[in-house]
Amino acid sequence: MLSSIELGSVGWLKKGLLKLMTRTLVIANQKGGIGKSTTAANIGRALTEQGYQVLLIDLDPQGGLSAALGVDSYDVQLGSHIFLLHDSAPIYRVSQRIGDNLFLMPASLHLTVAEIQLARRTDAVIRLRDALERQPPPVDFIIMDTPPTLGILTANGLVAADELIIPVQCQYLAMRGVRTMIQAMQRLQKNVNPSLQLLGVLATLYQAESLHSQEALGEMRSVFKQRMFETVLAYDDIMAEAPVAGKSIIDYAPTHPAAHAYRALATEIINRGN
Amino acid sequence: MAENDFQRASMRGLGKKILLGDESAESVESAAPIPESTPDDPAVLKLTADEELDLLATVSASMSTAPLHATPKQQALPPSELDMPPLANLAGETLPLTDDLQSLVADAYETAKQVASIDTEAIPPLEDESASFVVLNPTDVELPSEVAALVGENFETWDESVPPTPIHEPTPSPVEPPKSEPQSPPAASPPVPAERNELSHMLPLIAGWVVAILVLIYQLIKDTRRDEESEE
Repeated sequence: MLSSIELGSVGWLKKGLLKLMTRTLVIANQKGGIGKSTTAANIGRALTEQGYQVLLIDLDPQGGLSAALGVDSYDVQLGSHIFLLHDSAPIYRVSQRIGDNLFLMPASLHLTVAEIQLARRTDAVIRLRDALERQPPPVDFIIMDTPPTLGILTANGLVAADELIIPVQCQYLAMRGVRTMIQAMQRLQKNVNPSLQLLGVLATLYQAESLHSQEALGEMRSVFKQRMFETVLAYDDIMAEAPVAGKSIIDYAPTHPAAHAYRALATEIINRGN
Repeated sequence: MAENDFQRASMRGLGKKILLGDESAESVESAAPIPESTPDDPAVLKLTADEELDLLATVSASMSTAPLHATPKQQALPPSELDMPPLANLAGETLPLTDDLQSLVADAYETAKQVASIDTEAIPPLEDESASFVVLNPTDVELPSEVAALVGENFETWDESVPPTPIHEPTPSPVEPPKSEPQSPPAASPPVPAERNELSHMLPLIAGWVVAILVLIYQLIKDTRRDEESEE
């Protein structure tokens, strides 16, 4: 758990500096099962390998990101739902240390209730942004995982973030959702969060032997061009196995091609920010 | 290896349409055409012979009751004459009215009938009715002799003083303009109002009055000066 010395005693000047130093990323796509949580967990872990401090925030009531890192969302009492609902909730109390330089604000099923309660508030979609501005965590990266919907929780992530990563499964039906995601981003850019930028579109669950998958990747690259990450995340059973162990792929199988792919992706993210 | 029994649907070239919804991109339908409906398609409405007959009967009945031609809404308005249908029809099977409403309709109908039966010719004229109120044709109005003389004189003068309005006839031009738009007739010169005619007659009178006033003023100034000189 983050210590109160680390986060609780920061002054205004330090807050401002932290805000400038921290890159806030959100991983979002309303399509489910395309690797959002796995990507969030492994990007975070890969960044810490390169010496960065990372806070992962799980905004999905299903708790996929939390589970991928060994935190059972059914047992979570202090998590993102508390941070969203209570102004005075200290960020270090609702976050956990997962590894060296890696922190997690886990999700619980209570997030579903929190979303309903947020819906009654006028500041529903800016709660997370305000909370992070009040208590900026002393990290280099904040990475948020969102539920597979375009509801209040996802909107909170999109409003709090500066950069958006859209993972897209290399498949026709998954590709159809990208349009909605980009439109949502544009609406938020215009109305709530002008600083939100598309960091990149990430091809996931790619199957090299599949002609359909090849075509999907080709079409995405032809449309998004330099906005597509060069890294392509191939489908592999390792992505399903690692969460069983409660570990990131980088910790579970450090030499696996998937682990290397996430390291390469982390490097791309770093470079795109420079 | 067995051959596929389907034609593979390709996404090639459709990325923009799929990802961004760009209409300019080739449509998805062209790659995967929608098959035409067949009689076995559950989406196609299938009717039995009896159902078809029922449907035909319904359609023909509705066509016979419907007007052959669409009529303007104004024609659907009730005529101004009192040709209300008999009350029995109003209160019969077609209009289920309550007792109160029936009596109200009956009263209104009776009142309307009474109003319609009034003989307007039998109404005596008002005793002090002026002819000017009754006679609408101004030429029939009898004017006092002096007024009539004045009016007649003015009209005569008008006829003499006003030159005849020149008739603008279009002169034929060597090159005829294109007949795309119908030419509007030449605008007639505006008639001179009768007040202007009256003023022209009064001008000498007004001039006389002005001269007389000036003479009076001159005389008044002259007298004043003379008085001043005598005082000195």
